[in-house]
Amino acid sequence: MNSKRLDYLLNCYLDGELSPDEKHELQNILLSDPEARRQFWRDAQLHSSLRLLCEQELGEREARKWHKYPETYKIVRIRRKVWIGVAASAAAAVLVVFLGILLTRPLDASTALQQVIDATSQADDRTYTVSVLKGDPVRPISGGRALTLEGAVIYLRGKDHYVVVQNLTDGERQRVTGFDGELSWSFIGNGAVNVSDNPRRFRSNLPGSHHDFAFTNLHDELDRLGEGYDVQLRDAEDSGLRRLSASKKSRNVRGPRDVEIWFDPNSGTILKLELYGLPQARGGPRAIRLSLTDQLDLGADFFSHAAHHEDGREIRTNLSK
Amino acid sequence: MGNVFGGNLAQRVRKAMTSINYSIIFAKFPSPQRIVLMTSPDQIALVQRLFVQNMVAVRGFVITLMPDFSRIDDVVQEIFLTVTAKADDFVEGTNFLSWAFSIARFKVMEAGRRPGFREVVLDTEVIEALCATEMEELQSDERLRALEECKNGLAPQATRVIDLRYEHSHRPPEIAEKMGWTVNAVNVALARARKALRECVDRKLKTQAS
Repeated sequence: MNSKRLDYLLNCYLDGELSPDEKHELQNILLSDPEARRQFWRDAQLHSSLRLLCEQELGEREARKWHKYPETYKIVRIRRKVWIGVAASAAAAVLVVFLGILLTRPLDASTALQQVIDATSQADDRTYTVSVLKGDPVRPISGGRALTLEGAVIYLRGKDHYVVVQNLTDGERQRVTGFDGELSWSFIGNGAVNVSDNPRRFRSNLPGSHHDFAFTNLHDELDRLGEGYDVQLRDAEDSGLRRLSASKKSRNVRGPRDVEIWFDPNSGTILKLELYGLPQARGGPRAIRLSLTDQLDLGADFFSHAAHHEDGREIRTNLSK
Repeated sequence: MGNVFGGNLAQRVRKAMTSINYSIIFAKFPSPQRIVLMTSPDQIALVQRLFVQNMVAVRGFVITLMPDFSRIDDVVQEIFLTVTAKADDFVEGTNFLSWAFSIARFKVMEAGRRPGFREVVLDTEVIEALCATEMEELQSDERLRALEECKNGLAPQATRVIDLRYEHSHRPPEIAEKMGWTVNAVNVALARARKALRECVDRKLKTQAS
């Protein structure tokens, strides 16, 4: 083997400058000579290490722009100062670049929908407010009373924890309903608290439930979109957001005719959700909107009923076991 | 195959990543395939965590077999998606890096069959032969530290050529244009700079050893 020739060919390989004939020549040498293969690894690894070192610098610059993840940036800086190894900062840098690429490259609609679905299971607390865009916001309930959807507030945690606060049309009382992961519960005004171990027990009058799109179980409802709806991914008019538009594939599919979702492409969190063409068999609104109004931590006990009424309130428990 | 990027590097990367809030990071990764939902979330989280811990090693491995930097991100992303989709195949406690490298090897070979990649990726049988070569671990802490010191000690022109090639991802014709040199002069400068760096690193390591 001519070592100068191998040096030349390997350098051309590393710089993407091999002609077809030279590539053929290099490959023949590598196939026939174990020492040439060892030299390949030595040269290729130097090449790869140099790239990783330079990506460290690149990553640090990117990290400065990475306002959303100050902790990651802090780690990169600290690691650099104390020098625990090139790979430490290189790894963080590459991670930032890699995440940046993943987050900025275009997603397809099904991947974006899956991202949004996954985000609905996140542990973070989210608070949404309901507004009625079209149709009648009032829904009658038992005892001659009526609930209004307008202004209802929905608190969500994880996949299934929720608290919904709805105003009665008498302008004084509220219906508060929730599920803490084990028990579902509901009460009106200062009335007795009904408690059940059936998670669905008090869902019938919740926003969206009588329109076949329960806001308290967005994970499952959005999952359903992937099957019965044509979903398209669009850029939102609001800067930085993406928008998923879903339309029913056929009239046989239950649920609203159209669903519009505005979400944060970084986290998948839904910022706004609109339902159009809601089923009208039982009256109610034709179009409604859910808007994210808060992401503050609501506290550990927020989803249990005790957090929403004074001590000593009458509790009516209905357990299946 | 020998663990070319293994051992110490993997440990250092793991240390570096320990403090990062994985829940934040992984919330950003979309699930690649619906089929992934059939795998337990814990298993997916495990392989994704190990992937991030070993990402520098995996990326370094891909760069050696695919020296065109513009394609690296796509291939590394495909490896991540495949690792996630095949999460069930990984047995906890076994060598993750070896498993990830085998996926990376196939992904590079797959990329090599695509138009536009064929010219820059070696043929499958050559990659197989290279990966079957037993190698000592070359990517040690000391070697990487020495490389950075040596890079800082390069002559200004050599530093500029290396930065244009490795930081800005320019190929020799572009570097030649930026520096007002011929392409051949850039090729020679790059080859000399790499040779100087290799010799410098070896010298430093020999000095440390003695």
